[in-house]
Amino acid sequence: MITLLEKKFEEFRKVNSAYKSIDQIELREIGLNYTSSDDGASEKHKVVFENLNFNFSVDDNYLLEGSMGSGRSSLMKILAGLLVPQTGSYFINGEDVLQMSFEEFLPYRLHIGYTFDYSGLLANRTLKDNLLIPLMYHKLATREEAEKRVNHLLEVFKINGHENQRPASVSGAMRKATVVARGFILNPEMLIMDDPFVGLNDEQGENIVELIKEHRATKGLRHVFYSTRYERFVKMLGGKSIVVESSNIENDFKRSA
Amino acid sequence: MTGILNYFDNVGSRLIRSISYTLSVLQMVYLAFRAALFDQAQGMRSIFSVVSAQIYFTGWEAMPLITVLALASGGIIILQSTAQLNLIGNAAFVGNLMVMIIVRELGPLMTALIVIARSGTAVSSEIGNMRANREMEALESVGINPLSYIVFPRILGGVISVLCLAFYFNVIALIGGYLVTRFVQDMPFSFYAESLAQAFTFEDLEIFLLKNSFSGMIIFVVCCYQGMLVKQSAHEVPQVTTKAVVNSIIYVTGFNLTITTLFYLSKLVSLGIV
Repeated sequence: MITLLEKKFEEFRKVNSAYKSIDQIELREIGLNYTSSDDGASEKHKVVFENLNFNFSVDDNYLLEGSMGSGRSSLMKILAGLLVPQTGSYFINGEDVLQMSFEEFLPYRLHIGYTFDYSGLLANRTLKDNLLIPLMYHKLATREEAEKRVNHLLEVFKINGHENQRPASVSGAMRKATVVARGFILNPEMLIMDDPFVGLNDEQGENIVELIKEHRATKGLRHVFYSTRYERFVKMLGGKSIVVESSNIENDFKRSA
Repeated sequence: MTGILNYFDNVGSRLIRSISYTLSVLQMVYLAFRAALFDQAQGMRSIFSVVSAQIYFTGWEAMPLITVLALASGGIIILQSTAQLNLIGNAAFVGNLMVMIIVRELGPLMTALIVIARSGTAVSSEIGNMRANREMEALESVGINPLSYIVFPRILGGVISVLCLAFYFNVIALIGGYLVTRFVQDMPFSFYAESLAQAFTFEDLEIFLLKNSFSGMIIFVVCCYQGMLVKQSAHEVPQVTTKAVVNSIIYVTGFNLTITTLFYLSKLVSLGIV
């Protein structure tokens, strides 16, 4: 059933000329390295990606696999527009988004949901506010409509009853659930989830899978990138597997849903 | 010879670092103002709620401390100056001295130092912690520009707070300071008020606005910038906070000194002395 909020959001999508659908995603010659000088004496360089190329087919689920430190999270951050690599290009619909300013990238960003592997909540806001802010800030819904959507997500992620507490006063699982829930709040076209099932119980994990299916069926979700080591959820979500390893990613095999 | 070359090399690299730092700070200010003022997709109401919170923490909560310092400064200067002026038989100049010392010099400087100590450190460490806790990334991930949502309101709120606090400081120091000295001396209020009224000029208002608005801007811009320099770890927060305080003090005192020097040079030029 399409709620009033979803209608409004659809109106925004149609009316707002700034809205841009994501039809093609491509990484070209991406080079990323981190520099750390924590000891204050010498700088250490770690090469994460070197000349990375990939053309993602759209409307699919992608499981990003790889060992610790292989660059999975970095790749997800690049896809979400949160990390700018030193070299290369990231094309969405043929536009190099790495050359865009924050405002120019905003029409795409509003349709990318990103969930952090840990942390990432505003510490001085309640869990509910953390979910409400994206909708209220961009005036994508009235207060009542936004609350309705937030309450639905609170229920799905079993956070209700704690929504008026700040992140520091709830458990890690509750914080994680809120971060994952926030990824869905703008009804994204592209969802990027960095280890979304860690710290959550089986029921919450299953709810995430169901929510993805629901959003894919009725709310315009098209591309999902996720990483997890739980085979159970991989089987439930299915999709293509991409192995990220030592400056290289390869399309591994197609999993059956 | 090598020693001299090394000296110039050091001076040159310091100069380049200072210019580069200033340009980076100005770039942040430009991006923050552009994002806040020209991006129609973002809600100004959210920004103004942060501005009002900043005014509350920086302006309202600093008032007790400002009151104490203003009373003390005003009282001390009235007592000292009247004692000296009476010796030379020019007690009517107390107003000139008060305006010169309190309104033009001490008010802006004391207010700025209090704001640096109370709010500059708070802003710098808050933003630094937000960076370390990935709150900035979280804002970006939902399409909220941290420069417009976090930095711009703090600068705007900070400037408004510093202006209000400096005005409050002046009033308390001029009036409250006089009332404090009533316990130890017997200068009629009408005499003091007339002396003050004759001393005030339009230039004092110009100096007040110029010094305080730019001091507020310098403090919050520098502190926000230092906070934004935190990359990943919480251990960087105290380091950037210390640097924020040091840089703010240097820039604010330097700015105040420059304005005062320029003002008195222009006075000398207008009198035909220079």
